[in-house]
Amino acid sequence: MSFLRLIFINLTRHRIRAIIGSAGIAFGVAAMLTVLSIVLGAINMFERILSNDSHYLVFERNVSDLFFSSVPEEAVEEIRKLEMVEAANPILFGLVSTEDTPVITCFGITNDDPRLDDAEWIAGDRALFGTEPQTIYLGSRAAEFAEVELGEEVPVGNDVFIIGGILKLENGFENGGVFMPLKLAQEFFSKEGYSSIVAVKLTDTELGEAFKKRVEADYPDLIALENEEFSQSYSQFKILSATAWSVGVCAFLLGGMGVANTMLMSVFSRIREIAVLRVCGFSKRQVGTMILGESFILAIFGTLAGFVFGFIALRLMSGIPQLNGYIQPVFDAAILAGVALVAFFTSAVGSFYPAWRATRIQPAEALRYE
Amino acid sequence: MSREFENRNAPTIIKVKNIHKGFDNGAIPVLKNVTLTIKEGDIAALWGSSGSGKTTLLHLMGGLDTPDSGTIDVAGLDPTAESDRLALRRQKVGFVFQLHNLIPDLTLKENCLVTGVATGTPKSECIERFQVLAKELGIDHRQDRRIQELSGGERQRVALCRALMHRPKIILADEPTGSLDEKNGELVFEILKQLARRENVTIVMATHERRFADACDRIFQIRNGQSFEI
Repeated sequence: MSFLRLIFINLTRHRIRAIIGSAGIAFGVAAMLTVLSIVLGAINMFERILSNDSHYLVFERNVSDLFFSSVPEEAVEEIRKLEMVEAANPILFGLVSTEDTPVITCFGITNDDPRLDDAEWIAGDRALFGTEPQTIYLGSRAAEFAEVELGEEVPVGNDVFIIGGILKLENGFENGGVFMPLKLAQEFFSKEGYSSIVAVKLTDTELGEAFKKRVEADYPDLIALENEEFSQSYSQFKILSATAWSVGVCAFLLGGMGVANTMLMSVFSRIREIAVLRVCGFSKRQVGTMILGESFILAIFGTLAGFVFGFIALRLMSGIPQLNGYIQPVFDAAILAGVALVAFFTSAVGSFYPAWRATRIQPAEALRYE
Repeated sequence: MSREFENRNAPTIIKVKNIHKGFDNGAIPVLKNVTLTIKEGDIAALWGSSGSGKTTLLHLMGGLDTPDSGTIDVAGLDPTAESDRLALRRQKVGFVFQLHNLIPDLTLKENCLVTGVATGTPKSECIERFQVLAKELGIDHRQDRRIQELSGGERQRVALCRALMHRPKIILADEPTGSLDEKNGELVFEILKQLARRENVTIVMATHERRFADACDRIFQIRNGQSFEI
């Protein structure tokens, strides 16, 4: 019999207790994986909405949310004229409501916005975008929810619009949104002459710094950020990301407490047994290592089970019609490694006290009470 | 059973000098100025009534507890010193308890191999030793049975086997026959003696039964916290 086998035997002797301890870690892993995947997937989608076929985003400096950003049309025109700029597409973000849906994201875009060409036009004519009055275009999910078809009239806010087309886009948020020609959106949201952001594609990405300096020199109220830079600095993304990690860590704290409780119970119920091991020549270090080893194995099984549960949960959620397209799980190696690392750390911390208690057991005292 | 072995020329293996031990910070004195010596190969009985301090004295000799004052030397090691205690348990001393103290759910064989896990002895060496001892103790045919499936006499023989696995110089046995019926008690005691003679192991056995004490080479009566050789 080896030391490792003894650890395994100890766990299999109290299967229910071991399963409960492992389940604590598994739920922590599954919760963290699910939350992180959803939130990071959502951030990813936002990024793609904002940076559609562009290198830089230009928006109003010091705004907490892009919905409050205002970039004047003159600035957009001047940016377009810059030699280093290949394309500049203004986007106006807004929220609209219909009878059945209180909040729908609205994208006010120009006729040359690349997403119109990238989309699959389920109904309507791409070439007519922005040419007909009071006409809006729906993402495929938004059209499904609203149960409307091409040419129907839809009340939005205090106005009534005609459905000019239905688009299927890769992005879940866009699929659930409303697209308006920019001018129409500016009127609807009373922001004539303004857009929320400008997505800028440069002729050469090497010219990025020069572009940035130029914009910020000409328009001190605006800021130009490279897409990646924007993602890292945008407070909404930071809040979402921090929330995801916080929820995950809280889930792990519960899991860690589960491990601590399981291992503490295990130590308390084996006081005599541990005393006998000491009598048989086990050192304090060996006893401590044995308890830590047991929790380490619980963590391995818990982490693997958590990955499976998390994956299943995400698959199930992806299948819910209301969430279709909104959940784009991110399963990259860094996230899996990070979650596993937190699981093992939590498990180690959770079992440290029980292991310490086990090493403090005095053989004579433990045997005397028997 | 009778006292049958003279061992006067053998070297001293256990030396207990002026030991004091009390519980609750000395409020309950258990051992008072106990002094005794035991020679190599002795089968010695610590005989006395319940609560006389026999078990406490055994625990002190095995380094399971520490005295309030006095000195102990066991096979050249000091059980009161933290640095010597582990070596004492791993190399010099084996324990047998009244309630066998085997690990439930492990098999007979696994219980005996635990000592080897502690010392890091190669598995093949441990198994070889186990097979020899298990055969001598008449438990080899039950080696894959869990402890719960064994009788009281068998369990005590397993405890004896475990205590001898690492070839200790001394067996400290605390009422090894106490939980057994008369027949099994005598059987276990005889096996213990025979093995001790064969393996040249010194035995210190705490017992409250005079008949077992009389069958030992030496008897130390523990009374009122003091030791008297009779």
